[in-house]
Amino acid sequence: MILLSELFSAFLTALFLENLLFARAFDIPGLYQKHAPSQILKIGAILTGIVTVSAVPAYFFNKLLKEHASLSAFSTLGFLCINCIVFLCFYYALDHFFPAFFESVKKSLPFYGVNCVTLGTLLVTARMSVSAKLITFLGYSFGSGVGFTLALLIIWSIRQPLSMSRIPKVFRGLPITFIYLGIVSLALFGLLGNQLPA
Amino acid sequence: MKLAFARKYRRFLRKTSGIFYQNPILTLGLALPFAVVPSYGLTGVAAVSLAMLVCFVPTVWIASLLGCKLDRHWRAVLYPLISCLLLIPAKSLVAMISPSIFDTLGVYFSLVCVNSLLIYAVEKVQLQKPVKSLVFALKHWLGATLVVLLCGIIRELLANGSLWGVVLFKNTPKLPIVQMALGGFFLLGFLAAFFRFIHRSILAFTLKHEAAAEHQEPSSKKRGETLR
Repeated sequence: MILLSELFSAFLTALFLENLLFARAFDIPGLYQKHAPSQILKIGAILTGIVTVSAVPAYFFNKLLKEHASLSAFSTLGFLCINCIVFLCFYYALDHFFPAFFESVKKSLPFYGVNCVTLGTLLVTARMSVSAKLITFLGYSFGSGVGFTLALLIIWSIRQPLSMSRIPKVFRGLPITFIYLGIVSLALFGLLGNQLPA
Repeated sequence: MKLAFARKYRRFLRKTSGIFYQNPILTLGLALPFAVVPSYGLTGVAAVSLAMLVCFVPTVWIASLLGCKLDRHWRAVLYPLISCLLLIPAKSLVAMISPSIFDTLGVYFSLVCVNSLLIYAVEKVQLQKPVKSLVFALKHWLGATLVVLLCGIIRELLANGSLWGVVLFKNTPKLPIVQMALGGFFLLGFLAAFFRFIHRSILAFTLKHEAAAEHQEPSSKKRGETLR
């Protein structure tokens, strides 16, 4: 029960309080491109899958880093290698077991496999206190992926109302999206408190 | 005279593509984490820019050398790894800026090797010649650095009334919220709109005078005919 509550709290923290996009400004290539909700869900599923699977080896690597402080200089390289290996396994596994799904995401899959979100989640999770237990490590990573998907859906949901409303010409497109991201970030700021994300 | 100005402006846009025109942050929305969070002050900006120069530019150049020899999924793995290896010498350079810089930058220093600008650039230079790709990388690095620098100056001045830790305004009201992620988003939004406004104003000015010049030309021809 305690484990479950820890898992759930780590998941919720990553989902809302420390949302990768709104609180930490992590991005992926093509963040502002027009995507259909089904595409966003596919992107989200890929990101969440890669991040969650990477969390298991990353947890053991992090444990190793804590035991051997001399290895800390190679922490980024180690996490990146884990991310790359998991991405390649994911790529070939999708090709082999889900060919239809693979064909629909084949072109964009490499851009969503290794990026700020996947590596950033592993690095952030390893730095936080949730890294003490594997279950919380997993919960935080899974929550980060789901939170980022939610953020993409929020961006998609405001795209149409913004295009229909009367906005000054110079603010249309990217500037108003940035300001909207700032407003959502402001809403989360009340929960997160007055601190810089690290 | 005015047509010459229009031509000059167009030439300027072509030459500064990636720096002022088609800026990677303000126009394409790339490298967002560095423009929003580490740009809380000038030390963070200097550290990120230096790390980007050491990691981003050589990786893009290597990408143009390799071209399309590798499949896309192998490219997605290889270039971040090369960039990550370059991060090791970059770390020793950045440590010279401030000994505590890595504590304040946190994970953002490590994210230099997988930022969206790098992923965009290495795909863009696949078919370019190495020299051209080097110029492309330097221009995009400079464009991103200028925006991050501007953000850093504005945010540090508004939040602490200082620049690079040197207090310039002691008794002015402070806005510490500017240093949060939301301050970065708002500032980027307004900067993007401001630069777009300037660009459109110049374009409107040149187009207006071009149209006026075109309108004048036929009338002068007519005048010439009547004189004859």
